Amino acid sequence: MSNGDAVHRGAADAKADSRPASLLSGSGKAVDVCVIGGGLLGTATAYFAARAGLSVVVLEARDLASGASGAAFGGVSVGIYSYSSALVPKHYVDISKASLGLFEQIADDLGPPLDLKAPGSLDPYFDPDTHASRKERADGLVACGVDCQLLSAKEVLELEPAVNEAVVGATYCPADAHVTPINAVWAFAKAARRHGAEIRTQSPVDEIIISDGRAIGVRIGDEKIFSGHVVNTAGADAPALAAPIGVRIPMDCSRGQMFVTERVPRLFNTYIHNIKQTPSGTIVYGATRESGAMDVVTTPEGTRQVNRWACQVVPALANIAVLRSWAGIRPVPADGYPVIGPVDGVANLLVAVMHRGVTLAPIVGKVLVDLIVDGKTEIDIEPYRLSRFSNQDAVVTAAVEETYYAKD
Amino acid sequence: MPKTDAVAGDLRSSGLVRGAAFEIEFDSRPIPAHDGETVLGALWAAGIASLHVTARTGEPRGFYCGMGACFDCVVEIDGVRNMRACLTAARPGMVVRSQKDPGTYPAMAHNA
Amino acid sequence: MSAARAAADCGARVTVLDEYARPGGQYFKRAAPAFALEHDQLSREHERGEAKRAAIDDPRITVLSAALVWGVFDDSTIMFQRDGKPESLRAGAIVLATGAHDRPVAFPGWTLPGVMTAGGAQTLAKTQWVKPGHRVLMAGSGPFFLPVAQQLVRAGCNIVAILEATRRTQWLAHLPALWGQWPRFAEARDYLRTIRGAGIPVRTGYKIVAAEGDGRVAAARIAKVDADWRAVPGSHETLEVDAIATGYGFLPAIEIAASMSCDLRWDSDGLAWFVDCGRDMATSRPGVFAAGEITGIAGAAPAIEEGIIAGIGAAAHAGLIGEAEADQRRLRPLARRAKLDRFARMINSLFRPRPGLWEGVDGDTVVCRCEEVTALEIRAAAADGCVTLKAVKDLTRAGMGLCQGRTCRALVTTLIAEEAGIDPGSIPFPRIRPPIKPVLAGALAAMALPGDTGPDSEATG
Repeated sequence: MSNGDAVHRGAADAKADSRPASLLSGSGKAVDVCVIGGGLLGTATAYFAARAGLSVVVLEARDLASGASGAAFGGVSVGIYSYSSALVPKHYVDISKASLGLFEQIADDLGPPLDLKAPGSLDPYFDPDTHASRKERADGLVACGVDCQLLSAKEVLELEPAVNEAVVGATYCPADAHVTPINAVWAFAKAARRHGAEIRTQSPVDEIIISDGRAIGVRIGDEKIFSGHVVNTAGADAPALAAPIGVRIPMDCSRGQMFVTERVPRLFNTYIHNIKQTPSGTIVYGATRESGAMDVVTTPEGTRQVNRWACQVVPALANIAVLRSWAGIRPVPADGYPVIGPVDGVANLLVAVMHRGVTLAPIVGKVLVDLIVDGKTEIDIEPYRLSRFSNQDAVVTAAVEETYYAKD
Repeated sequence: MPKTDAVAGDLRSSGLVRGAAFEIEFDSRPIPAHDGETVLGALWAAGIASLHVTARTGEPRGFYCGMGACFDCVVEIDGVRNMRACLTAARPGMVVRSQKDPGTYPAMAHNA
Repeated sequence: MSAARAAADCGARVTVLDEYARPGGQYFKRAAPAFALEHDQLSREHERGEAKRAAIDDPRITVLSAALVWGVFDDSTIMFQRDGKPESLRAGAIVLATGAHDRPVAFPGWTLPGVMTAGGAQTLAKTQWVKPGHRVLMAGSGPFFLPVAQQLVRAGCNIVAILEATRRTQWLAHLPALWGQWPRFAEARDYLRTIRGAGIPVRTGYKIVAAEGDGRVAAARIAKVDADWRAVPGSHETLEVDAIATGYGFLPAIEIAASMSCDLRWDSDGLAWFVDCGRDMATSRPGVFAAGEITGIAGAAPAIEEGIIAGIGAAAHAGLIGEAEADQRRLRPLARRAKLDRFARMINSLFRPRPGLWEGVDGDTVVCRCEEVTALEIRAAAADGCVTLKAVKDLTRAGMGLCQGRTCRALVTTLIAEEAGIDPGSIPFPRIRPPIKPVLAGALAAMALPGDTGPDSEATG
């Protein structure tokens, strides 16, 4: 018996036998919303849906946060657009700012184990040539109403003595926050449940069921779940679910390798992109950016590269022991920007796939529920329409010729 | 190598010849030790039961597996934290300090 | 050590990477040379241990002690740390013989200073000649206890009682497997003589229930048990002790093998995952062999034979001898091992942990010692749908501490299995990624990689 698949399959089989009898077992009863994917986007959507009084079920193929949401660094930041060093467009700053504000608003209702902290974020640089572009970034953010300061070397070291004294300067966004992403997923999931949502793990969706150009539910093995709306927040797996129904989501995924240390006494006053200290005292840092690498493993080259970089930025790290490493796949749409919203040609189907889902999950969850309830949302998501990627209409292929029950 | 009779330490077995005797420091107290002993051996023989105190509940810990697998016996040795006392040979002049494990605890999802 | 000797005998150059300061592992551990011990203070195994150490004192064999292996890449490149400095080694074939450690057994108060494993008590007494306490209770199951008791007596310990969880009636069914195992009898007789001579009561059908004390163990609660090791109501007693040594079996240290994606097999007697091997001790990864406790808990004698078999296989894989010669060389150790196998299986079956061993593990009882995660928290996570070790870890932090899950992993597995009503063998061994042991970030930053310039070292080890 192999360590990997065979054993894992065994666990899933065992769980399948003990699944509770579901209200969704083809008896004709339906839910309002079926969410595919139990990461941050999926659980946030379920939270807002349940709060809005909708009946909702989250279907997660494995464990909650087993995709990018379980591997992410956890920055909730307006001040950085980590996918490229280009200037961030105002609409993206606006949506990030709205999300951070919303996160803080709902933090109390989410409750434990959410560990949202807002010590501000620091992006130090060591090359004087970088100064001009950093100033441009800071000015751009200020123009969007974000507090972003350009610090001198002296100011950086006063604020953050742990940074290498060879630092030249840094952008500092005092309002930026961070979470432990897995904790955030569980907080959303538990709060969603408290408001009436159902969360199912070990439940891989095999297909989205289409009838008459409308998404009407999903199929898991022999089980069919009917719903008024289907939301695809399956991260890196979202395109594979969309393709069979003719919906194309072009991606440019990249792997990130991350590391975490033993617990140490308090070392930082803020958090650095991407080195932070968690509430338990461990230091989490990363990551590589390996375009096209889809194997979720850590490599010796990645290990050396990340540790070399981290020890250069924070010299004290060199004498701190590393306990774990992991890798995750960033689900990045092809142009780097989020995909949020409806799908042309398929009614009642919503898609949300993005990098930096940690920052955007709250606002995206709210937006998706707005769309379900009202058909519109105040947040400007025009730039994030899936249809921006192709001129061809989404071709919808009906799964089976059958009459399905409509939402009651 | 110079040898001495076993010091009549609290928990040391008697009737054998240990290595050369010296002292290590534990929380500023002098502790007898011998060549060939580990930091754990010397501390335990002296009756020191608490090597570190945990972060969440502040409870004292001594040692558990005694062979380097469990990390229960961690102490600070010559300024370096999280050293396993059971694996580290005692050396003359070593400065050992008990640890208070750092870090607060995030709220657990299922606190009692 | 056997693998190294056997491989060298086939013409290989061998490097042994040992985490400890001196070769010998657990079975052949000994006090430092600085201690001058009288002959009768030496253990039974001492001479054999010395002989084995001498056998690897050979120009073809390099022993690197205090070497912390933290990762193996591409089945051939071994990354390790010595003196805080990163090193690496390329090997034509690898033999993993990483041994086992005592099964951690949780009960209220088990984190008190003075509660330790039998192996911990033995190490203290045997290598340090320091007593675990003035009044020691030993609680466990199985014969691996006996040498520990003997060593403690030799070290001058006052052992208040030895608790064996199985009852004598349970031994009768297994008697046939003892046939032909005379050396084992002689060994057992020797240990029992010491124990009887010291007047130590051996109470069969008893287990430890709780440790009590403030800052240190001061008393032990014990109870009679039924066939499932569940405490019999009304049979509880309190013993005044200041040290409790538990010996309820062993868990193999398979982390390196798991990180290399070697196939594993679940053993329902041992309640643990072991490295799955063929007769030639080959794992599922080409060029990677395993020997000793990581293939099955069986003690030193089978481990030695497996080491020889693995060493031969490694040498053959590295091209130093042909398959025909390897087959020939393996004949005798295979035969010896087969003889020992039946006994080992009997022991593992007779003394396997019964469900009562974790009946007291709930409420505030700590399960993950490093992160202080309680049984209540873990059971609640399992009841909440966390049926993998990773899911429980993500939610509770169990397994995220310094020991990297080594101590709590098996415990958490049994709790998940109990809560979810599933077989513990259906809970997969977690994915293990480097660093397999804690290693400084600075060492990771400075490590040399095969792509860099540097000599290739052709070695098995």
